[in-house]
Amino acid sequence: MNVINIAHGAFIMLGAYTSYWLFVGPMHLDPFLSIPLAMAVLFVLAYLTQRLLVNQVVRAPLLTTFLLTFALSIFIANLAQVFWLSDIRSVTTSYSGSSFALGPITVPWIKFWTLVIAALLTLALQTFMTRTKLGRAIRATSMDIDAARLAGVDVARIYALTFGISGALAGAAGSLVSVSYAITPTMGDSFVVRAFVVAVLGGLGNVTGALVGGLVYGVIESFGALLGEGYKDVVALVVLLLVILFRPYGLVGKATA
Amino acid sequence: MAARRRITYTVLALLALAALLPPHLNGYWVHVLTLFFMMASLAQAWNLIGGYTGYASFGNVAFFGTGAYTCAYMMTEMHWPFWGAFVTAIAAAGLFATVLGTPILRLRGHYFAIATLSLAIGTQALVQQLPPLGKGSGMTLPINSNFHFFYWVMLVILIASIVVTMFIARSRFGYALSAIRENEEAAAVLGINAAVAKVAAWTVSAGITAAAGATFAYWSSFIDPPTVFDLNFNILMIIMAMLGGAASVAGPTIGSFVISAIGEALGAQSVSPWHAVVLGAIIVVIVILLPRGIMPYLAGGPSAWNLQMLRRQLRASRV
Repeated sequence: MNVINIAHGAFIMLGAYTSYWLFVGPMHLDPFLSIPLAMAVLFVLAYLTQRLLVNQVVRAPLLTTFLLTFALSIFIANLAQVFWLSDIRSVTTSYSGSSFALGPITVPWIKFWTLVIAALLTLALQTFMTRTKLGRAIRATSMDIDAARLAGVDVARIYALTFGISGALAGAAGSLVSVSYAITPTMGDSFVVRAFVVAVLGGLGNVTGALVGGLVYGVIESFGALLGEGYKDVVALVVLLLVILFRPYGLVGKATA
Repeated sequence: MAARRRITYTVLALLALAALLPPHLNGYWVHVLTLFFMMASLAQAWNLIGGYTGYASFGNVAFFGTGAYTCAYMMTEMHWPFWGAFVTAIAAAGLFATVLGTPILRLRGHYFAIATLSLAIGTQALVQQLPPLGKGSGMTLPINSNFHFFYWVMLVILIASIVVTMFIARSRFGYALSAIRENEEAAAVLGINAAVAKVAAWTVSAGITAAAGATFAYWSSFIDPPTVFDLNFNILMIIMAMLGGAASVAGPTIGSFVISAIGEALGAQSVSPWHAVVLGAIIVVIVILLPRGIMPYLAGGPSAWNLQMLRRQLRASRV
């Protein structure tokens, strides 16, 4: 959609807190079960953000949306800090330490289910984008706003909806990371850059590509760490540079004219 | 256009007057203004590549860090005087930008943004591993507590960056950059060597950024990678340049002034998260009401300050 959303990390953080509060609250809801709730909360929030704020500047130069979402992320992260303080929180479930053996590899159950759910969500998104009328409207709007409008697409609503879906996925991601990472108001920062890198690795606007990009990035980062912990980022970013120089359409994408 | 030129001269005149201020200021305000001059020159430098050429660089902070570390290395290991280190820092960052710009500036839009972002993070991670640069633990420079000196150096860098921008904006080179921003293929058809022009713009931008970085290193007398490669510097450069008006001669300085003033008014020295909440909200409002920055309003004169203009601006950018 050509909108750089820096607030994506803040949305992930809010998703993680949603799961955290539902977990420590009276309902004691399992973080995996609170995923739909976190998705719903973040969908509404992201939809309104786009409808009321970002839609106002969508046609301004590319960096304007970047600026706006950056300011939003400062706003959200610091508001979270005002209300929830900077305390490091974590979600520890009864199965947090357990794992199963896959030959010589030990797989923690949490990471396994995280991967399964991430894959299912990707599949659902891919199906939605390619097989439904709304998905087609989103792709049309991202190709050419005016042509989509002429074809009868309510582009303002489509923008808000796309942002909402993106927010819902950030909410799900937040629930998923809440079981493996520390939860703080600024936890989103480290995810924004990675999400951006992964999306480019996979090819922008390519749903399955993003999953491939994520896997490749994770593997490169882990192997980079073999050279020494400090070289992890250097290796990952050098590979990224090479990919965008030689395959700017992503690892799995096709070159277009 | 005449109005814009008048704004540039006014800004330059005010900055020239600011040179007379230090004897009348206490240490706190000398510090605040020095920081403002530094941020404004970084925003001016970013404007050359991000504003005029239209390439959103997230990697300019790499040149800031390169400048700071080159200066620190020349002063502590080679025992050079500050000015020698200063010139070396500018040359090193310029060379860095030329060498890396040649492949990276072939990319556009999001791809250029992400490549430069990784350049910034990668340079920091690399500096953190190099023993002569103190690895991750930073470097200590000779201490110079004459803070008025740094005030004047930063001020001169800022004035120089505005004057350079002014000359570029009126030159063939500047028109070439604007043509590249509007339509790179068309610019190439007109006979502009886009590859050379883009790299040249980035090199000048890197040189100014490194000058500020080198001065910053000497000023703070201690630098470490998380400080001089802080991505927030880069983001602030962009915010300040866009707020003032990208691709305008003095816009970035005006934007920096507004952001610094808001920060001061909210109490920059306080650490309460409420201040950041308010700052975030203010930037949101400013971005929506002034999507093209402050410059069109300043340049348009009193007649620009009416609701019709505001409404027209809003309608133009709304989906």
